Amino acid sequence: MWKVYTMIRIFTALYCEAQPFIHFFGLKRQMDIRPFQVFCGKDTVLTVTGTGPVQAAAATAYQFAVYPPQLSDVLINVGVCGAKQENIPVGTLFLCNKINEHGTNRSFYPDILFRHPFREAELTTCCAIVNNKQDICGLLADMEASGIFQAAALFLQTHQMVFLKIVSDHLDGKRISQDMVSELVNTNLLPITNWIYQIHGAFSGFKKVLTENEEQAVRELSERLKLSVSMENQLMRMLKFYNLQHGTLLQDLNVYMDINPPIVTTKNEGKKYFEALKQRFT
Amino acid sequence: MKGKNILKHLSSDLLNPAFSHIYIEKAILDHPITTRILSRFPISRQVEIAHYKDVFCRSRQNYSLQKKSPSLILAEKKEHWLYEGAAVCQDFGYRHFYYASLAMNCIYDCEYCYLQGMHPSAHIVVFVNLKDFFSAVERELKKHPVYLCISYDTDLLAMEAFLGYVKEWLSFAGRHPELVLEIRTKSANPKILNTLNPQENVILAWTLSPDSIREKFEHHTPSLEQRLHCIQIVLEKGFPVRICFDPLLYTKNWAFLFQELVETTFRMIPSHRIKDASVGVFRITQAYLKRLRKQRPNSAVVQYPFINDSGVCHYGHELTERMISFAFEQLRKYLPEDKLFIWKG
Ligand code: SF4
Repeated sequence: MWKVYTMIRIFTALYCEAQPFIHFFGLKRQMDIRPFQVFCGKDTVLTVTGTGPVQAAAATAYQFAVYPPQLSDVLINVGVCGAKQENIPVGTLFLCNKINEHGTNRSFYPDILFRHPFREAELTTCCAIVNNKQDICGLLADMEASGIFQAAALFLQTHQMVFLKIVSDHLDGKRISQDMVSELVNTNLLPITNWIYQIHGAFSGFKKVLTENEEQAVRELSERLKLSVSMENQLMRMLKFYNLQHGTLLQDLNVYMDINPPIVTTKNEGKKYFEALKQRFT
Repeated sequence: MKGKNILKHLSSDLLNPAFSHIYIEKAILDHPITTRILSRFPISRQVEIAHYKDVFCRSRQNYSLQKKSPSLILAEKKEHWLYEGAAVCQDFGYRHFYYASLAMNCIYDCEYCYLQGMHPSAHIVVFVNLKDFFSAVERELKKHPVYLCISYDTDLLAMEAFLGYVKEWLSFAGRHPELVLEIRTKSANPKILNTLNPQENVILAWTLSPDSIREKFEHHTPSLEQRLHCIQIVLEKGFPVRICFDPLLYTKNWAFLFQELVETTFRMIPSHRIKDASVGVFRITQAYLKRLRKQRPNSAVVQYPFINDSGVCHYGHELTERMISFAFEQLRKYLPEDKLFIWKG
C-alpha cells in the first residue's frame, strides 16, 4: 500500500465518475485494498463508494481508517445528480450548500468558506431512485452525499468537505450510459481540479511557535533540571510565550545559561533554577 | 501539522467575503426584521434552516477560519431573553444587573475574545424577535429598575448599519426611564452615531486600547483615534459615555503603553464629561482559555502561562495587583475615585 500524506480525498459513487479524475491525477489502483476500489497518487486518494448513502458512508469511513485524517485534508464528493427543474441544462455543475437526507428529514451544512466559481444549490440524498419530484427538497437529488457527509464529519471539519454535483437528468427515469457520465464529469474536470489546486495550495505555509530544534532544546533543559512532566509543560508554555513576544528564544536562553549554567544534581536545585528562569522569561 | 495554524496563512482573497451566506430559520423568513436585514445583502446566498443550532452548533467547526469569512444566521430566540449579570462582570453599582444576548459573536476578531471559548462557531447569529426582548424587559421593570447591557456577547454598534437595533433600543429606553442601558463597543462609525438621538439613560461605552495592542490583537477594529473621535461626537450630542480599559493586557511594555493610552485619551476627551471609567486586567475561565489556546496557537496574548485560580485564569496576584495599581494611579490624574470602577477579580 502506498503511504499517502493525503490532502485531496475524492469520493465518487461509480467508476465512470471516477475515471476522469484517475486519469487526470495519474492515480493507481491499490490492489491490496479489497472492499472498495481505491486509487492513490502523490497527494490524492480516490474511493469508488458504490451506490446509496449506506455504501457511501461505509466507504468514507473505510478510507479514513486506512488513511488517517489530517486537518489539512480536503474532501470532494463528485458525481452526477438529478435536477428538479427542466430548465437546468444537463452538465450544469453545482456546489451543495445544504444536504437533506430523505427519510430522516435531517439536513447537513458544509461550511462554504472558500470562494468558488460554481452555482450553489440544495440537494436531497435518497436511498433509492426517485421519480417523484415532490419528495425532493431543494433543486437536486443524489444517492450518496448525506452518507458521505455524516461519515466524514467524524473526521474532518465542516469547511473541509465539498459536494459537487453535475446534472445528468431531470428525475424523469431516463437512464444514461456510463460513457455519458464520464463525459459529463470530463467536461467539468478542469474547473473542479483548478479550484481544488487553489485550495490545496493555500493549506501550506504553517509556522510553529517553536521549531523542532527549539522544542528539543527545551526538552533537554527540562531533563537537565530534572523537572516533572507538569513542570516541563509549564516551561514549554512559558518559553513559547517568550518566543511569541520576542522571537529570540534560543539566543536568549543560551546567553542566560552561559551566565547561569544549569548545574543541577537534585530535584530541588532544578526547581530553584526553574523559578529563576520564570523570573527572567515571563 | 495543525490545520488551524495552516489556515492562519490563507490569503483572504481565497475566502468568501463576510456574510456571503445567510442562513435563515424557516419560521422567521417573513419577519420584517429579516426582510430589512436581507435587503442590505442583496447578493448573499440565502439558505433556509430549521433551527439556528443546525448550523451554529455543528461539531468540528474551524473558528479561526470562520472568523475570516463569517456567515450570518438569522434566528428567533425562544427563551432566556435576559440573563442575570455573571460574577466575572462589573455591575457598576447597579443592583438589578442583566444582559441580553441579541446577537452572538462579533464582526471584529480580537485574539483574546472569550466568545471563542464560549461558542462552537464564529458565524454571527442575530435574533430578529426584538419585540420579545422588549417585553421581557418590561416584565422586569414592573418589579424594579433594570440595568441592562445589550452589547455583551457581540458589538451591536458595529453592526448598526445593517441591524438598526441601537436606534430601536434608544427609543425603547426613551419610553422607560427606570431602565439604564449600556451599549459597549469598539466601533467607530460617525455616520451612524450622527443618526442616533441621545438618551440620558443610555450609556455608550467605548473599549479603548493602545494602537499597538489593537494592531496585534484586535483585528479589524478601528484605531484609537477613530474611537476617541466618536466619543467626542456622542459627548457633543449629549450621550453619557463610559470608557473601558478592559482587558488590560500584559505585554513587554504594558505600563508605558497604558500611560500613553490614558494621556492620549484625555488629551482628546475632557475628563469631566466622562460618566465613569472601568479597568480590568485580562482574566478568563479555564475552560474558555483551553479552547482559545487551541484556536490561537500563535497568539502571545492567550499563550501566556496564566495562573489557574479555581477555574479562573489570570496573570497571578502579584502582577495583576501591580497592573491595577498602576492603572488606578494613571487614571486618578484625570478622574475622581468615585468615577473609577476597578475590577479586582
Ligand atoms: S470587539 Fe469585543 S466581542 Fe468583538 S471580538 Fe473583540 S472582544 Fe470579542
